[in-house]
Amino acid sequence: MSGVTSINLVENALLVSIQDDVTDTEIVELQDTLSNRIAKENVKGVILDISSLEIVDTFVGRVIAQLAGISKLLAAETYVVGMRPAVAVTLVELGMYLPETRTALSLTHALTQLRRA
Amino acid sequence: MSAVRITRFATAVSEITRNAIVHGGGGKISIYLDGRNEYLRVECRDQGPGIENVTLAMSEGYTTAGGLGKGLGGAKRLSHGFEVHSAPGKGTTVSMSVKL
Amino acid sequence: MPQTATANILNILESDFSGVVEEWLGTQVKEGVKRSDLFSDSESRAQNQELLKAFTKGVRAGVVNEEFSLDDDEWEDLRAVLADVSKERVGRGVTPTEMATFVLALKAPLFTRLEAMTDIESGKLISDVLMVTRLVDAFAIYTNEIFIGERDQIIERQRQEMLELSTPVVELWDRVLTLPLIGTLDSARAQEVMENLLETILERQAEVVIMDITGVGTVDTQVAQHLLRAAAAVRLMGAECIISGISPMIAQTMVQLGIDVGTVSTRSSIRTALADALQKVGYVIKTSEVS
Repeated sequence: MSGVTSINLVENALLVSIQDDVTDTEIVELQDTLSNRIAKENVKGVILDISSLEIVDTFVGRVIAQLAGISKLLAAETYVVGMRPAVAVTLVELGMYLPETRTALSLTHALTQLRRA
Repeated sequence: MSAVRITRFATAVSEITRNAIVHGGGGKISIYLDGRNEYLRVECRDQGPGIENVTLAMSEGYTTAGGLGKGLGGAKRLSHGFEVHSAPGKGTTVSMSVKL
Repeated sequence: MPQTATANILNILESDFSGVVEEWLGTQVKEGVKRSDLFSDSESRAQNQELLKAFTKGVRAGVVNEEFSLDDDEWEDLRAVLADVSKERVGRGVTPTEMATFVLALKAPLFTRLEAMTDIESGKLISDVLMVTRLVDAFAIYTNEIFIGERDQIIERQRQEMLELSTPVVELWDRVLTLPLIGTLDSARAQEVMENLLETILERQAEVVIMDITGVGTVDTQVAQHLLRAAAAVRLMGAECIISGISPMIAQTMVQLGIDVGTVSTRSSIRTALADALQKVGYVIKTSEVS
């Protein structure tokens, strides 16, 4: 696992902070690392914090959607949080609406929703 | 330049350079500024297999690499100017520009 | 080195400077382009003097072998004076035609003076007239360019101001924003609206956004696309979007056009949208029991 992306247990969820300088290899490896931790730690949710990302192209967008898909299959509800306005505009322009992925404004918002679930 | 414009164009460049690496086996990037400092142009050139039908490749949903097929057409929408020159066996050159 | 091509013209400009200025003013009055309603006599005279001084300077140094370009350094003074004069005239509502005719009126006083020079042979007279024409025409064309550039700037500035004015994002309640859309929604405006909205969501940490289209005249496929894309971007940021103000007419049109709003909630009035929005953020609207 790379040092630039951290996974921390917060309440009953895994908080994954993806850093701006994450490489393609690291973000793909994250799928493996994360799915193992969800299975092992039996968490209720996963929160992907992408507030550091200034650019999300179709590749990264696809990996994010896949991460959410994997977590869902492992019974952990996934929230993408902290997407920057410019990134949201760009993803929409690219036609990537991430319809299967839940979103929240911030970590706090995602945790509130997870507690309610 | 506004944050949105920077992000949009940077994403277009990322999209195209990723294509050059995945399909073209890497390549060269050149960056130009026009004489009046009104446009920034990025040219990405690879020596890969080239694209047979550029119009088809630009259409939504077209993919050869199992992706979403949003790359080329999407990059065009994110740029102010966008040109693709390619032929089978001749590599691909994509030129994209943004108003400053 | 004085140039033979401009020697006579320069001679007129230098020896009879105020005469030319006066006659230029007179021609402007005769042709109806001297805007005495906008500029006082002394103001007009001062402007004409300044312009002619800069023009003379250009003729003196900026014409080599009958060739010249107003972009050259020698014409810098004229360009500077013109920029000032144009800015002022645009501001006071002078039209491009008036502005061009105003400059072209300079030909008449120069022609009459060339004609009066008895020692010029006819061939030279023609070439001098031609030179005056070229110089004054270039002067007029340049004036128009500056004039139009100045107007474009004003238009662009007003367009920006209008864009900002016409896309207000209002914080209706804690964590609830509303965006009352009015008029037409073209691509440029939709983009502006979306960016402004998303920035405000971030700033206010808003959870629900009501996009009210009561004031939008028609919803065609393109307008619907813009709305749905804005809604999609709002959702990506983690907020919820309600589109309100969908009139029965618009609802019918949207169905006929085959527009699918997907998971975006829609409401007919901003009133019901507000009640929904407040509920989503945990408030209830209730009648108070006043005795």
